[in-house]
Amino acid sequence: MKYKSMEELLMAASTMPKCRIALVNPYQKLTWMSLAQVEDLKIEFICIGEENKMIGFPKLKWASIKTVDDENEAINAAIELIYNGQADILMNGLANPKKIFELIMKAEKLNERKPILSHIGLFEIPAYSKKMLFITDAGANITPDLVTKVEITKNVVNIAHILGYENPNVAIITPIEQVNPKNLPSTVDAAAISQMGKTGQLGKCTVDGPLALDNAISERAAKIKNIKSPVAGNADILVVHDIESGNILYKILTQLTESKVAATVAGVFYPIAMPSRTDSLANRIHSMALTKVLSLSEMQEN
Amino acid sequence: MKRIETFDELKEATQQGEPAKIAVVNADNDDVLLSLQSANREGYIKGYLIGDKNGINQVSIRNEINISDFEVIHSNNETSAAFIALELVRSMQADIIMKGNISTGKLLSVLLDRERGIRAGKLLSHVSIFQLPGKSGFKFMSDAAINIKPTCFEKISICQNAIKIANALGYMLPKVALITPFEKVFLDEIPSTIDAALISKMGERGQIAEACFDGPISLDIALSPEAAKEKGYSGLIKGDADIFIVHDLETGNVFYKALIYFVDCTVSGIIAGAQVPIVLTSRADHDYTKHLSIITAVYLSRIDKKDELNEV
Repeated sequence: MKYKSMEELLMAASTMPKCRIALVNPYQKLTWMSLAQVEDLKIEFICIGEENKMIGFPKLKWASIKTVDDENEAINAAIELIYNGQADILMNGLANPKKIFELIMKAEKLNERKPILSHIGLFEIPAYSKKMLFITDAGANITPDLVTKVEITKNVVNIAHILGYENPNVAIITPIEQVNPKNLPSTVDAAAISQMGKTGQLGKCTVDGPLALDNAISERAAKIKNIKSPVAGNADILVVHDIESGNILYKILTQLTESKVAATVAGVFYPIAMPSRTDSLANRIHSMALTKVLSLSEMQEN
Repeated sequence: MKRIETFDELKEATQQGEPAKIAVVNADNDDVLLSLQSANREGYIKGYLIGDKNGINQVSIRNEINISDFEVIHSNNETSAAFIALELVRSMQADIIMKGNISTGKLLSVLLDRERGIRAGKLLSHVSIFQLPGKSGFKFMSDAAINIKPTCFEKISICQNAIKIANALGYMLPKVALITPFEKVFLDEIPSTIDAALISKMGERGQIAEACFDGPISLDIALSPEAAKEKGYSGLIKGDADIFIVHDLETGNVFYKALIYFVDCTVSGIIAGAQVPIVLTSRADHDYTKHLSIITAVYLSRIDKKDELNEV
């Protein structure tokens, strides 16, 4: 089913059976507070970190503690729990995200896989007519080339499928809606990805680009520019050019609007929750709910 | 000088005085004439409509727009229409240039023409001026429309153009945030962080006047004191940036459009760096944005004139 609001996603997560999160370096007060508030979500946490940094950690029936000596050991222990089937989701507290990506990739390589990890934010935006909107990649890939952007697109389409979007509308975001090979490489990438969408190479979805942000999310703007596209004004997913533009969009939405966000990192067989240090308490909880729903929906599909 | 905090204050400050004279390049366009009409009715502007005479008349009749305060100057070629506008500026007959039915690229190339162009600063850049909910005063952002991938040197000029506009609106020593995804310098991976570090240092040494600088800094810290506190940020700017300089057009464009469509805030825009303010609105801009952009240009053209008098 498609979730029309963050509230529905939270509801869905709390009605699903239990799942287990391996939480790395839970050293931040905000992380502790978020854990204390999610009894309803029916998540069991295995909190992995250095003992002296977890002094004062709240006593919770649904959280156990596993102590390690350093960051590497904490991350590896979490990955091991997942590979052994003892945890379903990897979540970051205060470990270096780069280190986490590195060790995740190392484990994947041992299994002869070489995935591309990408960050996905699922937003509920009051000012958007459709409310729910995926934005990728605002956190994992810095300046993705075309090949990486294609994988980023596949990752987000896959996540949308799991969440009940049968045929999501994907907009590849650029500053203008014309292809401009001379000055704007992003428009060339967008044209290529959008043709690949048509040939079915990206899974079931409708892709269009280059589209400027206003064309993607405002029917009025698309109409003024005379853009005829099923995606224009009607996007479910925005794929942005790089981390600079993704980060701006992410932060404008979280800092300047009443939007809610749930974030995950996709690309491997298990969901990853990677809240930013400055994410609000509510958005941390949304991310837990999202990864739980992803984890259990995936299991149902298999 | 008292700083102007809202668009209402800007309107009030601009309404006094004679209407400014605007030269519109290829004025035969419904949107453009409609936005001129409202500014003209409120007494902000009069001036010149350059372009195809028949076309301009047809548009004005079709939309029932009274253009009697404007002189129509016929030109059947967009480049020559742009040069006519430049001549009007040079002979002090026009205070502002506005883009009509001409591509941005073409207009810019005329403005930057080696012999006849009217560039004043090192480059032309787009500056967005906006008010944020819950914050006092204007904020400025650049560049959302012109410079695609500015070099570090070009970014310095982009800063200077934005600072000049902020100063003109009464923001003395504005805080300039050089926005990047992170607060650290990443030498191999994120060039914006290197540019930001360099420009901040130059600012600190007084090499860029009339402002103070911080960066690399991420948008959340530049906007929110709470985020700055949470990240333990000890830089100059902690949620109180006045000017936001972004890495490239991709980022600026998303910034501008997200402000309009997601934050629902009021925005005006101006091209800075020429001898007169230049109004360049997009078809998809809201009417209010077009209106405010014209008023901003009128205000800035008066300040520029005052500056000239002071210099003499």
